[in-house]
Amino acid sequence: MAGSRIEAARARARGAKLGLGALATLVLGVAFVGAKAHAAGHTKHRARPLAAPQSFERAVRESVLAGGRIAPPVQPPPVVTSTS
Amino acid sequence: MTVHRFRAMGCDVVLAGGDPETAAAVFERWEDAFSLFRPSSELSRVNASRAPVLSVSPLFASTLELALAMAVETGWLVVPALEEVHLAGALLARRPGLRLDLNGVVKALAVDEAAAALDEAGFVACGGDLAVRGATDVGLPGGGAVRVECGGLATSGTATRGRHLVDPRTGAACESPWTHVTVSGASCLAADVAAKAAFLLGDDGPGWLDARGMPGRFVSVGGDVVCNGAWDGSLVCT
Repeated sequence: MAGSRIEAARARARGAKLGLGALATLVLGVAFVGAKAHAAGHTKHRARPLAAPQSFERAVRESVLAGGRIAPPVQPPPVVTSTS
Repeated sequence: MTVHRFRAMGCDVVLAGGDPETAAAVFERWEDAFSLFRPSSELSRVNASRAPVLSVSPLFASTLELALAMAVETGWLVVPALEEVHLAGALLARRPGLRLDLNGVVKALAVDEAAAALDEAGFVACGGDLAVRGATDVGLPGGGAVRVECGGLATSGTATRGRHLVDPRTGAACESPWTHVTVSGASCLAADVAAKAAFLLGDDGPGWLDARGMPGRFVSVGGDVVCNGAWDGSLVCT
């Protein structure tokens, strides 16, 4: 009789430990995911090198370093280009 | 045409066709963010910070991205820093103590923005950088002139500030056969970056510009004027 009560108590204790462990793991997981998603101090993406996307680089090549239009002067210049 | 003058970014700004106060405000905004001579500027604070990762403003991030795009376009000749930097959105990571320098693009961007704000045909010039709204005749280093019909014109060289251009390939001040390199670009930014790159490329500068269809005029140390094909194709070399 006494042995069966002790066994039952041990079984309840094991169950309680398992329950507490599972609950702690669940809380830790939810907090980790929440922090990754919302906390300002956590980066949302891997840091990438300071390099423009390939599509942007193509656009830059096509437009940014494009030549201007010049022609012979027709009057005395009001401004000069020196050096920067 | 009324010409206005004021000082900004350590240079004389010459303006025609617009309100000088509006233009001065444009220069002030860029200088306030990127001046290396103002301890309060964002660039100075970034350079002074010992933190390995920093949060930067959207203007800072977009300007840095543009500077990097120009570095790619010039084969890493005109660069914002001599070491690797990383950017993820507004987060900037670099070795603490690394000095960023965005002057390679900031002055030209300010000139382009000020020219876009002109009320009528005119121009904005700052140092060697110039942007026009409507055709403008511009005097050239060593004599002569050219009519800039649209976009910008920029000159880089050693005449005003000595050997100030650093060659990222060596980390030392550039040795170039040129004293002045003047480039016509679709914008002042394009002209300025291309002029710096062509200067750093030395004898390869004229061909490098031709490959991009950019007119370039070079004044050698001996005073000779050399124009590339794109320049000669637009006008007789003067």
